[in-house]
Amino acid sequence: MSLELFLQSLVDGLLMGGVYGLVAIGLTIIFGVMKVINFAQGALMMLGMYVTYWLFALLGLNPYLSIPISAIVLFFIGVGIQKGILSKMMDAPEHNQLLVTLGIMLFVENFALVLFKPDFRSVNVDGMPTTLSLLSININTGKLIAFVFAIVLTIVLFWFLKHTFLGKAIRATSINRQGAALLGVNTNRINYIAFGLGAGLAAIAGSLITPFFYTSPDVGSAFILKAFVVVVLGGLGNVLGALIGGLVIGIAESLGGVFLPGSLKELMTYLIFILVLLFRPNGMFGGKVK
Amino acid sequence: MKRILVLIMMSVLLVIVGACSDSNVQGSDYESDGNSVKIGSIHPLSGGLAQEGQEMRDAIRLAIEEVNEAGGIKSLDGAKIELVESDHEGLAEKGVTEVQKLDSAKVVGIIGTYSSGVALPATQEAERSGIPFVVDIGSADEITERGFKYTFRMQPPATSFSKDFLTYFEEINKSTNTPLKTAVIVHEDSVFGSSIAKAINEQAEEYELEVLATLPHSAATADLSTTINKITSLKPDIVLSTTYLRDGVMLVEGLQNTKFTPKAIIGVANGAFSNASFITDEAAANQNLMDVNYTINPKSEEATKVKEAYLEKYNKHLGPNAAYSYMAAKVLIDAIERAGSTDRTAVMQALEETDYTDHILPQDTIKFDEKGQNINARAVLNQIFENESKVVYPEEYQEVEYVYPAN
Repeated sequence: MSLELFLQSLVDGLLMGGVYGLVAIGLTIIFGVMKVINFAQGALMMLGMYVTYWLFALLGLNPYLSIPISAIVLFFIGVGIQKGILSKMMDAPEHNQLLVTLGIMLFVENFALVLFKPDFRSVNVDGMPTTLSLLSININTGKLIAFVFAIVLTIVLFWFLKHTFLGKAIRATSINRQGAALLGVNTNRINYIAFGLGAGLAAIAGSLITPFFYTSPDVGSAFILKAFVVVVLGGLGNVLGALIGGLVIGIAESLGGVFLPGSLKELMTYLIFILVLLFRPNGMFGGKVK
Repeated sequence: MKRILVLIMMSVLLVIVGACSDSNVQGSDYESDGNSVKIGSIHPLSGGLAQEGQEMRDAIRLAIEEVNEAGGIKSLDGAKIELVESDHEGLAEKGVTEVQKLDSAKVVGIIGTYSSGVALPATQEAERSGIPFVVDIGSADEITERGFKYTFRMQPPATSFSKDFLTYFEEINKSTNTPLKTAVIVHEDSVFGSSIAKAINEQAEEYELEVLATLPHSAATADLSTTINKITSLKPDIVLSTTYLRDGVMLVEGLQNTKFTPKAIIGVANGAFSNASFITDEAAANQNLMDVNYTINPKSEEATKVKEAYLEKYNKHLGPNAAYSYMAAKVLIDAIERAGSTDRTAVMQALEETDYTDHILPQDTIKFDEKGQNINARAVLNQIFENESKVVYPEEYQEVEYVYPAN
């Protein structure tokens, strides 16, 4: 195997890992705060992609400029889901919550199918080259931007959780709900914000993916399973862990594809998943939102 | 509180059930007045293959509408055909339950399924219940290799695709001064892509084609960069590809973003290269891609009429998949007409005697062998020119001259 192939695969894996991390960050926040496993995360990401697609198709808006819009729209959809459905389920057994988010996923996907038809839709960014070349290595521009965003977003979130009052309240709620409530944190409100934030982050991921991946109602399924693995890998509720977990999976998959024959690269993700569950059940970094 | 919870659960369950069975037992436009014959359609109407599935379902609707408007089934006093539509979502296990549902809906025959992975268990279930099953699209050889009496297939099977590809390759390779020698096979890793790749691998040597590598991938993958990296490092003359739509587009676009340009990209039964939305997609600058695939006979006048009717009714182009579904419906209805009965065994026996000449496919009459395979079915070589896919080989169906090597 040539060095060039190795480096190229490493770069591709790193970039794709950033994308996986991006999708997983929203999921990890929702889990960290609410202890709800949100199956609908991929479907919410898909809605974010459609917001971006339609703004592009109807108004010609650059997909990167539609990020705040899709984030805000999905934030409110997220708050709505939490207020309308999940808040009534917070005391129910966990498997019931699981069923509800699964139901929301099925509903949203099929709703999109009826509304938008199953057609594959793509977005082209005017004037943006699809690839950059660096020392004979090709870098997909869309993925590079998503990767950079993933890092920036992780840092911003990390800072937000650490240094703002709201962030501290979110962390307090995630560590000890009753304790936080006793100290005057409105934990119901925190739940709305956390789910809204998770949905908004899914939308940002969606908007960043549209320039290089086809939008269709079932697009979430290509990412959601990986996102779950990434979340567990990084430690449930750990934002920084989600990014690093994403990178690990991305690289493992990409290099696995080079070294292993056939479709075995798909195996890499789950192999790592099982190993982590066996030896570090709390994820690579353990713990909660830090 | 508990009651509210139960209520919510119930409504969510209803939504789930509703979403899943959205179009399960839905009648066609025609009112059932006691004098109707039900046939079933089982395609992926949701999920990753929904686009293809819905196109195919629409073609069956068109075929049925034509027959109904022309007076229905004459041997059954003008009985109208009623379509019972079902959705397998691309899931094998759903294929089985949907066949059971169609069975209890009392359909005379079933048309499906697009996905080989679903066709295998679905036809097995139909065989068990004794329901004639016309496979419109579903390429895995095994579908007609299990000695089933009730299974019939319109499409050429996988090994014949690879055989057709290799013969066409040999022929057109002779016509150029720069014959191509090496290839990399990229295929999706379900039974569809794997069986075609295996068949090409087994016979390639006889046709002086060297396969440098065989690269499978999951059709649902979010990323094909490893595959593309391997291709660019191997630098084959030809990239052979058997994929579905999304992964096919990812492959072509991914290759275009590298500095390496293969001398030809040839699809074998490729789900993307013959897809109407891919061919006309501006994003895929896809000049001169080739595809060995089942398609519509470009020289048939009947086909032109069907294409126009389809475009008018559904505002989209009739693709090869939809054309085969259309013909499958016509063949099944023809069998019911000749059987003069809604008895499933009688319809099965009539299907065995099918000899359908007035069709829209690039082949001789539609006839089934004892295994249920359409014996004259064949793939042709298509090439994409400026947003249109044209038949370039063999000569009897040729629309335009091929460009080879393409780059």
